[in-house]
Amino acid sequence: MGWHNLSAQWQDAILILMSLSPVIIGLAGSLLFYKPILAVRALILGHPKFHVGFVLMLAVSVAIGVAVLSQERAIRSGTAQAAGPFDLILTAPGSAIDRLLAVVYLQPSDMPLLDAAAYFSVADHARVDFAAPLAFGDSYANSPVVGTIEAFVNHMAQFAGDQTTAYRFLNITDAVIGARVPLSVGDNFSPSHGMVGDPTAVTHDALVYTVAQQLPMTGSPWDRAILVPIEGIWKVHALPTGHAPGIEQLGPPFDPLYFPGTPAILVRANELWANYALRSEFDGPEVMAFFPGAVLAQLHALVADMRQVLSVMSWMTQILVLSGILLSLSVLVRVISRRLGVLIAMGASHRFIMALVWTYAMVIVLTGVLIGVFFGFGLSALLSDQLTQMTDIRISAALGPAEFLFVSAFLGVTALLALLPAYWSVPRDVQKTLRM
Amino acid sequence: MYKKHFVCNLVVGLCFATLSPNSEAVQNLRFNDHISAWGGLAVIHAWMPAPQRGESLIYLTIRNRSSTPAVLRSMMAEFADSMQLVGFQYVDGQVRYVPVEPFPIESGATLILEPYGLAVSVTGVSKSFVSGDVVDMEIKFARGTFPVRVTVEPADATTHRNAGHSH
Repeated sequence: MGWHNLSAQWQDAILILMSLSPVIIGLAGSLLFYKPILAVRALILGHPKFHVGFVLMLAVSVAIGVAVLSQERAIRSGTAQAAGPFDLILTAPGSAIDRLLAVVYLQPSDMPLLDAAAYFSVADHARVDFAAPLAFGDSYANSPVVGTIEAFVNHMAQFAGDQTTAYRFLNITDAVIGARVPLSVGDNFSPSHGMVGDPTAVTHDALVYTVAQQLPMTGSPWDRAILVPIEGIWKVHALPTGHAPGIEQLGPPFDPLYFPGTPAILVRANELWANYALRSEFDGPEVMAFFPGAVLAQLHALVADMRQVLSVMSWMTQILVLSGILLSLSVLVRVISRRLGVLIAMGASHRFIMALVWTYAMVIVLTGVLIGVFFGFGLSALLSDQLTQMTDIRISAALGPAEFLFVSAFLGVTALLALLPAYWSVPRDVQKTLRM
Repeated sequence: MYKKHFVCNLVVGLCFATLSPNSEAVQNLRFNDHISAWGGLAVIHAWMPAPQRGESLIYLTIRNRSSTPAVLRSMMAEFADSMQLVGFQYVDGQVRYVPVEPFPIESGATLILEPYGLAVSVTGVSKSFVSGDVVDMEIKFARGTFPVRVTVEPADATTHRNAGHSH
């Protein structure tokens, strides 16, 4: 069985174990054969402030490395999860990134309309489960008001884990609010004509919505959205309502003669393969069909270089801090060389002195790294919380194989480098050392 | 450059000229590095990034100009242990390729296998290929088996060398 046949988990586990092998072998050998732990304790307690400084310095550098790595992954995962409910999106041709930001992340954007022909070609397709028109442009306080159909609301609810509740638009003034909208069921409001934050937005006083239901948390900017029947949005903008005059129906089937257009359509295919076939079929000069996940993956691939830079910077920080600490330890070992000379005079072997100094260095490093991992996780959680508040995208930090590999590789390299001060610490001329 | 495109278009033009779009009975296969056409079906511009660790993805365009749906059944090649139709997915920030069941390409429809969409996953490639190599594969449809030439592009390629000209 080759390396590439192993699962990613096994590959990670083997790499972590290999990275830690110098630490495990070194500590096992030192503790089993030389038992230097009491002498290490005495060395550390001899200069407590000095050692606390070392540990804190290491902890901070490791914490930054762990936080940067885990945060990057958390952002990638959070933004991808937020795009989860959007299988295939149809919009007017343009920048896929702009459309992605507008539809999935509800960023204000001027979007041309798809006409009735485009809508009905997909809505009537045999492979389409539902085609939900999405109409943007109105808002209430900090919440975008999005016109759509019931199928889309229930689709979002199912994505959020609510498989049982039926979300209904019984009246044209019914509104279903996202989990983070500061309104309650039964509240009334009138939307403004304009995006969130538009100071020139004018209130549509003629239309008063009533909050009928509230969706569970999706972990996406749609938690701040207010979903309303698209007919109301069209009507308040003096457009046909999608149905012949006098017909009060809400939702599809729409009448092609009275369909005023929509900025975006979410397409849900009835088979996995149909998503790909539909994309091939509808992507053309008049309509842009795209998978938000694919656009996001390309975006993340573009910033992968930045991730590499961050990773290299993180490693450089570790190496700098580690070099500083090992150099300082070498100096400290010089300071305590007389005590080491006494140990040799009392019969301790050179190997014992090496084991003692190496174990002493590793105890400091291990303590710093463990505290650093703990701090790093805390720092990452704090950053995630702040980013979630700022973007409405659920960013959840968790320590993963990348962080453990980073920490174990750092420990492995340190274990090898710590052999240098351990070797230098052995007094070559005991009499001369004792006279110092 | 223009000469090359002219020759390419001439070959492909002749190819289509001999095929009746509505005829299912065309037996003479037209086959070159850019296009395989038979019975109203055409497979165009097949390419793959040079395999790494024995794996790659093949991208191509299938145009069905016949009067009936074409059902893509399977793919095979001597240079690979297995080939499978897969679809790109992005789950939790991780790229995944999930197997896609055989499905019909409707009459008049064009199916594009491209990066970040559908692809033919190729595994168990023991031979090493470099950019510019041409390898053979076969695509099995319900109505018959197609030989297809696949151009190897650099491992990090996101499009093929003939992108920009059409057949």
